[in-house]
Amino acid sequence: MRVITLVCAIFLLFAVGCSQYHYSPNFVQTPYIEKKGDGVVSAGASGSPTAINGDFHVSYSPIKHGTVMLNYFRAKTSFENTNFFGGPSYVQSAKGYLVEAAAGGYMPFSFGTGALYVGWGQGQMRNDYGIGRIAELGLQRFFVQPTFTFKNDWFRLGMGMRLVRLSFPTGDIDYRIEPSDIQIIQRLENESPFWFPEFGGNVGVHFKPVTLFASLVLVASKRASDFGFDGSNIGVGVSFELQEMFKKRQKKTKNDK
Amino acid sequence: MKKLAPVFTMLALFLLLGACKSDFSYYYYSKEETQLLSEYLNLPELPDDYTVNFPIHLSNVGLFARPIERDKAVLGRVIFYDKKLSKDGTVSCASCHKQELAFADDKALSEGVYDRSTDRNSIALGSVANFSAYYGTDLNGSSAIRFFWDNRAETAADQSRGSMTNAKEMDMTMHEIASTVEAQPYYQPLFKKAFGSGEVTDALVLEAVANFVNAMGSYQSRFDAEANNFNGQFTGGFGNIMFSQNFNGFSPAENRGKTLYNNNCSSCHSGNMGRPVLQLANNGLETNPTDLGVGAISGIVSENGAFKVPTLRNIALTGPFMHDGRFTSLNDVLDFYSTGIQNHPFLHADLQTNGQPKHMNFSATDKTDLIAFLNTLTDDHLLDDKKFSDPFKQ
Repeated sequence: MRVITLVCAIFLLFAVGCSQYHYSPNFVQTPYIEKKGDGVVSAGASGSPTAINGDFHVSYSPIKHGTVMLNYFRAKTSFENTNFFGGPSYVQSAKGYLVEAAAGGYMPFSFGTGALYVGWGQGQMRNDYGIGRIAELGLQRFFVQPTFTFKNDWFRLGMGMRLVRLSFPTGDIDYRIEPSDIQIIQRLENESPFWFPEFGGNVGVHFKPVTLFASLVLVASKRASDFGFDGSNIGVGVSFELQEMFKKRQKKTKNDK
Repeated sequence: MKKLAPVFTMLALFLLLGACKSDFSYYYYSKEETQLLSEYLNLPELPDDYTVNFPIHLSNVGLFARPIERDKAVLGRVIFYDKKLSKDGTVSCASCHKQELAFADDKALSEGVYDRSTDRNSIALGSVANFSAYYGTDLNGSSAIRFFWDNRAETAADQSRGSMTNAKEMDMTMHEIASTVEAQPYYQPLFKKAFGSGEVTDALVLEAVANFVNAMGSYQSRFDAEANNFNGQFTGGFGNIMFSQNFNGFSPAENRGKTLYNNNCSSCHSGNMGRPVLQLANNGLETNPTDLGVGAISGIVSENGAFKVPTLRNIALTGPFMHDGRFTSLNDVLDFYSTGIQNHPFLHADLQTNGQPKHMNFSATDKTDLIAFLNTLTDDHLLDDKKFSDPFKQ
């Protein structure tokens, strides 16, 4: 068993990824789960330096101290660029998505709840450089995420650090893309996978069972911009705490009886 | 530890799943385009990079190259080598500008269509990149470098047009050129890549050729390698500091030749082998020249008998020399400058001493040393660089 553990640890250290292009961080999800049966559904809209994003999240605690999580993230951006061939300007755009699942454990304390999640997801980023020049990249993200949450009747506070391993296993690249952009793609290929922490937090006002929240996430990587990674994301959203919704319904049903 | 093992295993599995081998692909031509092109041409799956990178010793003094539009250069290469674009189907640009000769010809006067003899010696195109950022400016302006021995073409596109329509060279009209290009199936995908559509016009043809020609540069000679070692020691100008010191990698003869070159030749032909110092000069080939050169085009009397001053890069390969190819060897050229300069009212001042033609009086050793130095200007890489070679299937 000790040997297996050691081998696994070595794999952890030296597992090799591959790479490609463009990334925007989604919210660092910090579900407000304290006991078995708690669940959260949330949706948010945000903006990063280059993109407009949408975040969707579902989490549930099926067992005591255990949570499963599902996230879906979409990003989109576009801007006008002068035609390389000297004609009219054209629109350059990018869009992508990420679907990921995570599992973790949580421990309530008197002053809040601590949790640790491990997740994996994959998605796609598509860049349209105009005049039909496309680079389509598959991406994969593995993360380890400790979080802390605090809540009372009307207030929610969550913070977390997401340790990310980002890789890009597939790509279809139109070689008509500008040589300078091709070079960045090729540099990514040589230098990935990318490891970096992301720091995120959210604060919300709670009206049972709804929370209106604001969220911020920062990518702690000096080189993020070299490879077209957004360094931050800020947005707002709404979440529903399922246990409070079901409690309400149960109360109503009892009252009806 | 036992309890952690499954966690580690899961994490390792996650990473293995995520540890992906690189499986992305670059595409340029579609399957149909590849099939079509491969019937006629040997083009790489992905286009070559035609970016011009000046060596440090040139970029340090502020020289820069005209940006190349890659897809147009790819198209331009095919046009450059296409013999169908001549009246008798036997002559292309490459017929008089041969890659193995730094894009010059080894004849005094080249042979165009129907073996017609051209009027002047073929100028080597292997160093257009040296001055590609400096053409298209005012005639005789301070930065203007032009094409042809008489400087009649302002740009590389003008020069291409001039040769394509010259009765002794390719003898086509530009309309015929465009029609012929349009009729060849292999041009369709190339035009689409270069210009976004398959439309063919003579302007686009010339633009493509210009991009290819603009990319022709030779900067990997022994001279460049040694000059780069002096990086950071310039104070501007054209390499005076560089020339005051011997190059460590040169032989004594080559270093002596470098000094002789600096003292006698660099004021016209450039000390650092960047763009030529002068756009034109009368070098006293004849007292009463029949070929008036630049003067015949500009109408400026003082430019009668003056011709374009070429770069000397790859000079060992680009003979015969002068506008009419009258000198077959570098020795002959040095003999001329030694004692053969003729008097002329507009003889360039640098070739005069007290108002009389200068006699450089090179000794036999001087000539050997000078030729040794001039040989260091040869860039073997350009001569067989695939991206400049004939793409047509033989």
